[in-house]
Amino acid sequence: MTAVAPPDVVPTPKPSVQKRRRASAVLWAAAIAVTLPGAAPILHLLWTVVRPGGFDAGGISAARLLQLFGSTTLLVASVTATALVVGTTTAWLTSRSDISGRGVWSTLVSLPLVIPSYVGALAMLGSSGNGGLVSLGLSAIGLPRLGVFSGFWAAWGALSLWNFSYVHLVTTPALRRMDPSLEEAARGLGATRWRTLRDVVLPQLRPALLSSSLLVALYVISDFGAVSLLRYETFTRAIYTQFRGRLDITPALFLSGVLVAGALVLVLVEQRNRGKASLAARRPARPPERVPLLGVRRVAAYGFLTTVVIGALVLPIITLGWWAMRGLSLGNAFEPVWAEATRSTGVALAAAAATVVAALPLAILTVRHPSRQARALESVSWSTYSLPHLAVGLGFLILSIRFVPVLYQTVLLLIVAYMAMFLPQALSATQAGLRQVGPNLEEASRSLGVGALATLHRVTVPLVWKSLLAGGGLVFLTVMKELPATLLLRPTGFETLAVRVWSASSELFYTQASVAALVLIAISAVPLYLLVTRDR
Amino acid sequence: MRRLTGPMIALALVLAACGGSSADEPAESTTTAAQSTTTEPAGGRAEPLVLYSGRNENFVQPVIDSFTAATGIEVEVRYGGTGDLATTITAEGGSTPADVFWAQDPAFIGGIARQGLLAELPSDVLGLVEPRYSDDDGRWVGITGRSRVLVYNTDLVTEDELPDSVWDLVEPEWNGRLGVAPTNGSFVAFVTGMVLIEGEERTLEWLQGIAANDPVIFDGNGPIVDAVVAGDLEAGLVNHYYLLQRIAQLGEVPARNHFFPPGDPGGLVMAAGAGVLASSDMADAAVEFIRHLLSAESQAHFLTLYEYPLVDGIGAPEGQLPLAELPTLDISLTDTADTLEPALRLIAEAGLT
Amino acid sequence: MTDPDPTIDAAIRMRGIAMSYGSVQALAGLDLDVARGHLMTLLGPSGSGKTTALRLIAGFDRPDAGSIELGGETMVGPGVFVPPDRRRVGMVFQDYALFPHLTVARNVGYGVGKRERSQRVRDILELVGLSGKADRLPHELSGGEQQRVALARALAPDPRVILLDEPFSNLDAALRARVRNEVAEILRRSGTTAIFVTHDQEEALSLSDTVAVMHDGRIVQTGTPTEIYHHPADTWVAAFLGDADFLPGRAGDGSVTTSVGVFPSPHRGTVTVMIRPESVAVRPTPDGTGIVTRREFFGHDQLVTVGLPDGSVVRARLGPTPFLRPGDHVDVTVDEAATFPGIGAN
Repeated sequence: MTAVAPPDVVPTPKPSVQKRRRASAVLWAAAIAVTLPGAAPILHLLWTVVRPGGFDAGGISAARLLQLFGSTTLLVASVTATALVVGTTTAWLTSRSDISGRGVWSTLVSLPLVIPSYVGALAMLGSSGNGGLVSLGLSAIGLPRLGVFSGFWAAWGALSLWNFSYVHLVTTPALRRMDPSLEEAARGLGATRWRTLRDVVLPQLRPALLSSSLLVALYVISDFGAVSLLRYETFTRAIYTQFRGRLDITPALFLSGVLVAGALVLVLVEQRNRGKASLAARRPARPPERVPLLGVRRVAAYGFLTTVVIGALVLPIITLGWWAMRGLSLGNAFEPVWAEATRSTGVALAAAAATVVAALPLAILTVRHPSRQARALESVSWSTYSLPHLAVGLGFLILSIRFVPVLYQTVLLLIVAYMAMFLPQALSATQAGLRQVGPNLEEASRSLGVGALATLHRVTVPLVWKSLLAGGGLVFLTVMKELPATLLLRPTGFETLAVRVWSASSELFYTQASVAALVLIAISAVPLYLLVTRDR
Repeated sequence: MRRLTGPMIALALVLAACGGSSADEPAESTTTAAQSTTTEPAGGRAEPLVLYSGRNENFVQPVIDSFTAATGIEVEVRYGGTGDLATTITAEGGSTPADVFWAQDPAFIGGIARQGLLAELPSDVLGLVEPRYSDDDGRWVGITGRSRVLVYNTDLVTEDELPDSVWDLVEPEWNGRLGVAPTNGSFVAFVTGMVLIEGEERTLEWLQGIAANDPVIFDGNGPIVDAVVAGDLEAGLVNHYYLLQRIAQLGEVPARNHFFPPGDPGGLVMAAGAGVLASSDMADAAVEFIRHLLSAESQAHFLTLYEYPLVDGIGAPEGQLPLAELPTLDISLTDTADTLEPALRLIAEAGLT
Repeated sequence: MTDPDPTIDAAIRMRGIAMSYGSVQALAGLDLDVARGHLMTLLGPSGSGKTTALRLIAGFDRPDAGSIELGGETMVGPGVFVPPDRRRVGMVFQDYALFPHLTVARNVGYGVGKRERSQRVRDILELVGLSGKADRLPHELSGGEQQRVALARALAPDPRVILLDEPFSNLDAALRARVRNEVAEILRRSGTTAIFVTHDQEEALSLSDTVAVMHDGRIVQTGTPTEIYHHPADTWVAAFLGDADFLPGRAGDGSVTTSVGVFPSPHRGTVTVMIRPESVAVRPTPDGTGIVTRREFFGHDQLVTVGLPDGSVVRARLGPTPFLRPGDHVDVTVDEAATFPGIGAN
């Protein structure tokens, strides 16, 4: 599912194909218009930091900043490494080994994406501590109770469990498309399986591994719900803490600005290295042979997959279900979440549609009329995508209050914010679709007397609608789960499922929280399942 | 499938619009100055009252519902932490859509008042409550009273270990045993009180001492109390009513409230206050809402939550000392607004936020 | 570079067209005229700018300088740029670019107005011989059939000009000649002005009324196939259009003497003499001056390479006989040769 990854997978065009096709002014205007909402909050944040009086850390010492930076880096590095190892292993097991039920395992291992990390953290809390499910289970068999899951290890566990699926989803198609003749050549020259893996397979996987690890790293930086619940201080959590515990918004904006600047550096570095990667776009003539796993290895493989699925999927859902049922049986009041479910679904659908439409001009510009300027524009939208949603939300908050108060606390602003943050998801998918449909078809239509917009309608869209749908599905999923920006920007009274989970759990109404969480998972499962099984 | 796209988008927009609150265009309300702001009997008005509530939804919803039932005025509530609501109002400034701000503590609401964002309340409303529990300039009025306490697990903390002063908590024997919620408004209010009494330097010393003593940091008071009750935490600095609510829910638990001696900063008794935003165009309805909060009926409801009603004659929570007899700190709650900025800065400097 | 003939009734007129991509100059000062109803081919190696020129006529790109007129109307000029959908220029792409989601009939009728559509589609399909396949989808057709659909689609809206970009390169060699002739026939019947672009000289020479040879972004020679083959403008064109061998010589008094004979030449001084293998005759004889160094046998003909005493080499294209072997002595006679001033093939 390369739709999730930053575009390092563009095949470098051959010189004869790399013709400059000038784009119309209308197309440029449209592309700039859809990129603007993403650039605005970033620029505003950076400006509030550099203007006189803005460089106000509100009393936060440089030592503390360094400490926050260190704790964040530690978490990012450890989670990314873990996700890479786990995700690559599951990808390899489900596409290259000969264990049975590969397709089912692959789906199961991808499904944890429906569980937002804060819901997973919630379930983790619920299963630990006195009275938690795991503790009850342990004490039932006579083992000592676990303490409450919190701190670094809990955060590491939670974020690894609910992010490794990205690595799996990006690496699986890369593994499937690899040409087996390279590996066969290596084996023929006497290399062992391990050496083949190391010297032949992994280098070919490099672009997939790079893009998915960047994705995971960005999610970890951005995460605010899980680290708050599990009480691990990261930079992003500190931003929220500043927002909660200060009268003046300046320290929160300052920290956001610092984080934005840092993230932009990361994005620039990634873009510079991106151009060297390449991806084989065609399926090889023969599918790669399956590696037989025998004896201990086979058992270990099943065991590994089972553990992962239980930890990432089964346990959290059971915990939530158990909470919900226990609460109901105790007669704990809870409000039905139909209103929240409707709002979440409605706004997610609207945002998905808006984002897909918005991505179209930018996709056409970058695929049909590539140029340095077009790439720069694309980078802007990827930059916004890379930033923590909390920071972007704060940017939109301040921007709307100061300049467009009529939009403040409206559903429209919320949708614009979602669109700005998640444009690249729709963009990637649309670009992939456009690349498969050559420019010749559009030129043929033009030569037959059909104008640009009509060509879009009669030729382009009918041929790429599947990619548009994939991009829209991804945006839908992400918006359903989104928490920090929604908290900041929502109209008063506009509670979504995500907000309901969060507010209920902070007030310790776990019954309410679990009910909302289960509904959120159920609704998200539909598009995820469709997306995951689409290629099979 | 793609033929469904059009209808799906339309459906999405309809759903989003339905789910959205009617407070979608808050700025419009500020232009309709001609609109009457007198309350009407049940029969309904189009314009809802916008309340920013630092109070917990489940506790205050009954009071809000009874207001709507009595007056027909709908109330749109934005729930959040007192701190982030105060930050939001500060950022919104004069164009805030809020009509009423109901805070959990005097510090943040005092900060809002200091910025001139709150309107002066009518004297009959202010007269319902003892002056010491309201703003000296009449910009906010105390609704309920609460005391800071140390909640502790009776199985894990013995009686002689109990501190005589918050200063005991920085000692090594309390290392890793204490939970605090440094972003919570009540904690901030407590620190503002400490600054008033002990000064900034000493307060910083205390805060740094706590930070160095391996405290367990929470986002709110509720989680601290739950952790203590479950035995996952030994003690924490919270408000008195949380434990009492838990006991009412769960029956007997191995936890108790420990009150600090009079004069100790840890024992601050303070008010949760409410005020009307100066920019509100529904000022009359807003004041009516606050009057409702101070009505006998509402105040009695707060009693069931184990908070102290500030209106005379309603009484004290079951089994608790009367308000007047609670050990406390002799400071003006209004003055805490002056020490708010320093307090926030000191908490950050100590590394707690 | 030959100047355009102002007397031609031009369907297409290009003047001073220049176009660069970054630092690469694709076209440098191109002038071209195509007469109404003619089949013109732009012939040149890859990178010569021929596809660029085609795309400029179609309107998919905009030149840096120059003007383009179609049927007397300015399409490109100072301050003027008519978009491709308003030029009435049909295009057949190298990969056909058939709309995969539309049937043959829908593809062909795509550019035709609703009212005339069904009749026009019927007529055109008949013209190209695909009447029975109207309801098929493109992927159900063979390569040759797809090509005819592409042609039909481009012809259906009755364009001023039809452009074909290497239209036969995707076909099997065996099919190519037949399809080529069919397409030329269809175009002649419909009377449409057409420009082909190709790098295949055989194709260019067999199909067109006029050929314009392009090299490095310029047209180096325009003329009928016979003209350019027998009287190439320079040695590069000569070598590009067909096999040729070059011998140095010294010209004076209207002729030049070489080791294989004397030929007329209007030049003076050092010249290069171009000899086409089909003008060379070879007679095996024991005391012949030439020695066969190589023989390639193709079944229906053979190419024999002969080394001459002065070190130069010529090739002869002969029928299947005589049977020669390397080392045989032969006498070489040449019917005709062209001469160019200067040294060597450029």
